[in-house]
Amino acid sequence: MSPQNDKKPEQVSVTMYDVGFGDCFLLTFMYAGDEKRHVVIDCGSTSKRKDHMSRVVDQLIEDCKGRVVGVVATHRHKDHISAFGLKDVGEKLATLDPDVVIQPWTEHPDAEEAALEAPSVFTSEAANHMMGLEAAQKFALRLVKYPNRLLSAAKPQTKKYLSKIAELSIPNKKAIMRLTDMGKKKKHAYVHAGGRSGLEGLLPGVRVTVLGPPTLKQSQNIRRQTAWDPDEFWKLYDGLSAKSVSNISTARGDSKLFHNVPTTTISRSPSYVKWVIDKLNTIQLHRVKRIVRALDDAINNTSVILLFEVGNKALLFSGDAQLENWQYALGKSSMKEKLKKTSVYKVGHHGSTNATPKSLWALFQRKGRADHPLISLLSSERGHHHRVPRKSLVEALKAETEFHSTQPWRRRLSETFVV
Amino acid sequence: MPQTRKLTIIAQDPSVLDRESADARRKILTTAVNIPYEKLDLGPRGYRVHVVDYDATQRVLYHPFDAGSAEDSFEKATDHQLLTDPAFHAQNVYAIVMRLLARFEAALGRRISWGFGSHQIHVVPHAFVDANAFYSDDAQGLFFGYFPDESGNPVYTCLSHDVVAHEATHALIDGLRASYTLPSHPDQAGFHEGFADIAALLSVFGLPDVVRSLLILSPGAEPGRDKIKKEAVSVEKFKNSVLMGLAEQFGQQTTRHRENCLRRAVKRPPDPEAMKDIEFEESHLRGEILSAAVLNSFIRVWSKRLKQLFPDKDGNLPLSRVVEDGVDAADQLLTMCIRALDYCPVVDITFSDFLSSLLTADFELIPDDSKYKYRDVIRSQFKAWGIEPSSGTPHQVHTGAVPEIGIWEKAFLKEPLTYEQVHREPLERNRDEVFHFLWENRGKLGVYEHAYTSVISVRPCMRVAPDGFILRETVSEYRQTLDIEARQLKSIHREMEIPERMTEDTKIRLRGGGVLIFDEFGHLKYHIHSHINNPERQNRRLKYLWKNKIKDSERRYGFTDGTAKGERFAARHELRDGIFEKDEWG
Repeated sequence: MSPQNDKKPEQVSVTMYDVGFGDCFLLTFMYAGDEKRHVVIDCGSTSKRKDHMSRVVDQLIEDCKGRVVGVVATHRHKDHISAFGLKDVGEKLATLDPDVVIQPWTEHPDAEEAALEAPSVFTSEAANHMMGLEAAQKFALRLVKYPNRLLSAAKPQTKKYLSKIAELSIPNKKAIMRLTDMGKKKKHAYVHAGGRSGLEGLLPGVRVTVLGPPTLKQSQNIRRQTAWDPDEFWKLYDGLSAKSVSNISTARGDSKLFHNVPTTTISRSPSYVKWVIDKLNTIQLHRVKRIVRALDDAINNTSVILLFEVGNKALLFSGDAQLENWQYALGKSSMKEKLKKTSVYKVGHHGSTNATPKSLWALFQRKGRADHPLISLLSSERGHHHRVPRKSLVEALKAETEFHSTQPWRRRLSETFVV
Repeated sequence: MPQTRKLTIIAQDPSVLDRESADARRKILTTAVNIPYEKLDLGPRGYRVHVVDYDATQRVLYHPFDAGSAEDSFEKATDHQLLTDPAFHAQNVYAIVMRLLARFEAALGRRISWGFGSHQIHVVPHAFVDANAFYSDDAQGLFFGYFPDESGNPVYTCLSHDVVAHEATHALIDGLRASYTLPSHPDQAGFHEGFADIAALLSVFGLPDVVRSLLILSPGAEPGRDKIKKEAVSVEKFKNSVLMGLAEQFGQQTTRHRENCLRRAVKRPPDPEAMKDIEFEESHLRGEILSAAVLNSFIRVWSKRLKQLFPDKDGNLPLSRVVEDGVDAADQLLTMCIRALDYCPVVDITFSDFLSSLLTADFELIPDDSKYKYRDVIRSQFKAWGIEPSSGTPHQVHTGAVPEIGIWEKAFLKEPLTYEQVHREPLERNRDEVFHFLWENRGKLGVYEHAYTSVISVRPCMRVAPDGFILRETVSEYRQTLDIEARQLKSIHREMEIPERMTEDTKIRLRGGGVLIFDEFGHLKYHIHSHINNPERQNRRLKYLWKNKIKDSERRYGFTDGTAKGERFAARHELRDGIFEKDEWG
């Protein structure tokens, strides 16, 4: 056995950074001889605080001494990868020179344009799925750009709420491009449940298991067949792109479906016509709400779920994976066995209602223990109103785990937890 | 004043062309339909249908169409006009909805009200950009979307006969059985979808010229000829014909496959286990089981009729006769289906209930089924999907030597019902009188008296049988609701169960009710009931609602499904979540 194979971390720590609403974690594996190997998991925020992410990244670079073996971008939501898209901050992150950049399989660039000869896990269905996501993101972009048009019937509070969720989903092109460039330098791993993580050989003595996201084939076994594929729904919306983006941006009179056909002023219409128009506008608003929420869920469910095992300890990072993503791992007895020994749990999706499935929670054997309890880490923002974190979940975490949250932090930028 | 108005409609959708058309500018298959004449206002706005051409995506209200006199403005319109003139689109939806309404009224022998109280339903042909169309009771309307095809040209769902008829059928069912949109087990939502498909497809057979044109699209038929090869009218060939595919253009554009229609239930191989399969809990898919059973029955009867007429194996058949027999067979089956609605339970319908209703409706009007054996064919087609009739008394009714399996049990109770306090005439039209009858006989009829009970309709109807005799019946519905906490279930019936992990203080609404069918002498003929204290029925419903977390915004079960008012069908067509045991944090 080579010395490399004998090598094991002597200590593991997790640093959680206060990014506002978002995620940024640094895993540090300490080996003999003061050797440290680091992995960054996500670096993003919705915070508009000036220079805040710059301070976070400076701190992170100092903590890892400017070098990491891996960067994991769990999924493309702004609150997870925005820092990579910022000019100066992104450039600083690029200097970390990771040996591997890990992203979900849905981000594979070859599959962006419905690749017919898709590599490895890709099928034409998978390509369709990704096209669907792309289309959906374009829709989100339009919503953020033209809220008054698409949400005309919404109350100001609803408009603000929907625009905020949609903003999370808009394409983070700059961030994605930066990650792609970083990956090109050495290695890029687009991972799926049960596949290789890309960290093989980089973290001696650490076993890294990919628990999610499942491929379409994997998820089809657990997903109900639908008469109308939701992905098709997005693509149809993308049909808006050719015409309607320009339509939306032009004056109202030019955007109608039938040209040279007379129109009527709504305010001068009979009350019984106005009544149905009001009803239809409300229905339209509710449809947009359903779309925005579904889009948010769909992107969350592309999250990479990684389990790092060191000896009898396990660290679980699941991005914003929700129930649908988790279903595959929770259906496999081998994966369930691994999850039982979780020592550190990064609370999924900032503590939302269905990102810590109760069936997952039931597996954690260290919860409620006085010695070596389960450490739970929640990154969220005080007063944020995405219905997260769920009160009942936080109560359970407080009662049964060693719970740490960025919410009460004031001036602290980060905290390190030794496992 | 003319009795009817003739209006041009697109027979299927713009993708289905007329192979015999000699006019290069008019290739889309169209037909002229007769609908009852009325003085139309701008819209058109008639006594039952009001077309409002508002586009909520673009926020544009098009000028309403003036249908004016009885003249058909689009009789000689070119394809370009049909596609690009919103006035034609308004005419198309108006005519299809009015025609379907007239078809339902003719079958039931009475006027039908919409489910939302108003007399006029709104129909919005270009409601929004989306590959979607739906009925909303709250907005009192049918809403049709449009979306771009691969080339960016608009596809209008309002120009698809099948889509318009499907959505209009939702509205008609809602007028007859308002509870069918409430949370229940998967059969109920599946019934709405399946029945709407059946009505959409079979109603086309009321247009013999269209049936003829669609038949000659089949291999084995030649345009301009009056004959069709015998092999072209087999069961398998019928299954593949345009006639049995729902929404061709829509299916082609949403799946990007030229051969696809949206649904072709007849081609699903029967599977007696499908009803238990979780995959078939999705409403459209479940509905396909129902439409597969009914439409396969139709195809088999049609084929059987042709075999009896032309026993020789080879040769050609006269096309007109093939069409005529198809039209007759479809007419009888669609009439059966529509009349069956009167015999369907008030809440929580199952496919087995519908089968019993279908058999009873036909039996009441046509006891002798020996010629084409419709009822035998229907029974066997449903059985192939594992669906047995709800009524389980095989020997109660005999037509000749053959027992009529599956007919609802007659209300000939051991203990005679009390009629002393009620009067026949008001029993035919007065809700209070029917309630009086129900209350007097609540014990004998097994009506749970501690629930809120209300008679919601009294509908006298008159139907003409093929032998010329008139069948008079009065159909009355009563509904029951009971709001309780889960812990009280056992006090209603000791076999009622709280679903696993449901807390005892969970608020629940139980629903029940029945249909009372009175004969022409005012005597109760059938009592088709879903008793509120039936443990088997309530346990199944509650288990399903709990498993799928179908609850309202106050986390109560059995009240509403949590979708915005009037948007159940819209949401159902958009995104369907995976069906997981939801283990979420409250």
